[in-house]
Amino acid sequence: MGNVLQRLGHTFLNPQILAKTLPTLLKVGLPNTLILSAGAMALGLIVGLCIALVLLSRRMWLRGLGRVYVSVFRGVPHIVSIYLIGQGLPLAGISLFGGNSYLYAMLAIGIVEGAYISEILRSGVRGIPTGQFEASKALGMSNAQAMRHVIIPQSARAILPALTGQLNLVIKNTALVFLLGLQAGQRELFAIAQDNSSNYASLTPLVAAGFLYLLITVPLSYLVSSLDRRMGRSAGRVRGTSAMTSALAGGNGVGAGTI
Amino acid sequence: MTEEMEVGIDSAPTVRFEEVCKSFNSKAVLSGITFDAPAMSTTCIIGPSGSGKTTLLRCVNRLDTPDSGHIYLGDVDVSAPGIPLEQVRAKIGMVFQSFNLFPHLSAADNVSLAPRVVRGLSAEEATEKALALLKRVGLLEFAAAKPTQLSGGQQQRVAIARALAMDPRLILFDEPTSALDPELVQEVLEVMGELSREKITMIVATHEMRFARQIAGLVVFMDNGVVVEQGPPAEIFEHPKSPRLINFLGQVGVL
Ligand SMILES: Nc1ncnc2c1ncn2[C@@H]1O[C@H](COP(=O)(O)OP(=O)(O)O)[C@@H](O)[C@H]1O
Ligand SMILES: [Mg+2]
Repeated sequence: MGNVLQRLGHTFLNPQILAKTLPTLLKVGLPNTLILSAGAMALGLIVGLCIALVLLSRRMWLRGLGRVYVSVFRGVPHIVSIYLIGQGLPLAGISLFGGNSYLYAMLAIGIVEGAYISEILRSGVRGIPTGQFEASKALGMSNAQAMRHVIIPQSARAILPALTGQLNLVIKNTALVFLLGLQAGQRELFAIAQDNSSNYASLTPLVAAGFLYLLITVPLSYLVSSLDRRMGRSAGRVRGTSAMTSALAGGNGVGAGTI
Repeated sequence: MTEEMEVGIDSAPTVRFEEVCKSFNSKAVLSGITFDAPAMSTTCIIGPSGSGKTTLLRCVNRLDTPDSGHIYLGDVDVSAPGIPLEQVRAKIGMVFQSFNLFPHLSAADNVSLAPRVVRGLSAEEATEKALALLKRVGLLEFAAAKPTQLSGGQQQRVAIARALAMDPRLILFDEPTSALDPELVQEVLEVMGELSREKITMIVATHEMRFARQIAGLVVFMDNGVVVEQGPPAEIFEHPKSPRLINFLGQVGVL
């Protein structure tokens, strides 16, 4: 009995191993995970915005291309996309970042996230009644002005929570970059935890990494729901609630994809 | 502002419809609409639903584009390809059946948004203008209210103020009272009557026959995408000639 507990303890929560790995996790892993997440999210937002505009285009062939992009990157396991982009590009001679896997990883995650984010933005904008566009147009606003002053402020309620939820997924997906092989100083939480786990023959470092992920993602989730509540209060009853519910439903479907 | 061609629309243009045609999915909705809506006067378009009234109004500010024919505002052919749409629309007000107020903005911000964004007025100027217009439609004390806090009649009056804020040369009304509870219709018609007396050029698609009779300079009866009969209200309502108009007036209980 005591033996079993001891073994459990050594496997999952060994204090000595924890003490040895925690500093590296905090000093190297955590910053790298955050930097990778922020970079991938920024890229994902830019890509997502472009693809969303393509998806909302009046030209059918453009919309078709956008749909292909979204279907491919949402339909293929992330692990495959990240291999193909992160290793494929340099192999094919498109060495944008030299041999720096870190940046390829960021690019790969950003491209994949862009597909999810474009759907979030598209459904958010689609949910706004067409009368809002038409009233803006009738007043002489350009497309961009209507978007900025009328459409986006109204779709924010649908878009922001889904977008923040997507950020949660990005953070977790940065774990996949270990696939591309990183230099010591570039390793993020998962890579460090995995290395140490095999070195010490204990899963303690992975448990610690898991806690650190939770330390980022749980507050983020709370932020999302409080944001949602706050906007709900200030927005009051917005006409065309179908907009929001459909966007949120879409957002959930969108957010559901990890590897 | 980009340096595109500046469109000079008269301050009070006659609106001339010339053989305007429009189809949706090969179904003809407008089939050669021709009439003149005089400047500084109210023209009412009446006719059964589905006759093409909304589509015709939407062709004027180019929310829809005619397949053929022309619509002139004074000398400017607004149906011409390549016309700078945003400039043209900025000079034409539109009031929708379903109000289409911006639900995230207060009444005052609904009115001041376009002057600020499109005309480049400062926030103070735009707000001052918005408050003056809200006062004009009798809603000054609701300046800070969100559209959802207003009754339908109040919302439509804000929508009228919003259209006026761009100092339009012409205002299009698409059945502005059709979505309202009966007791709220009058307050909107009163505001419109006021504008008409101020000689603002208006084209009003409406089912309010009493309003058309009292306010209109010209009444145009449309059915099935064509102008069946047009004339001053006395003629249209007292001496209708075509069987279709007689039938229609019977149905709406005027004859
Ligand atoms: N965007 C559209 N697509 C297809 N059909 C349309 C569209 N807009 C209007 N229609 C059709 O055109 C006809 C005239 O509609 P409308 O202009 O709204 O008439 P009214 O305002 O007199 O009721 C109707 O049969 C309507 O179904
Ligand atoms: Mg109509």
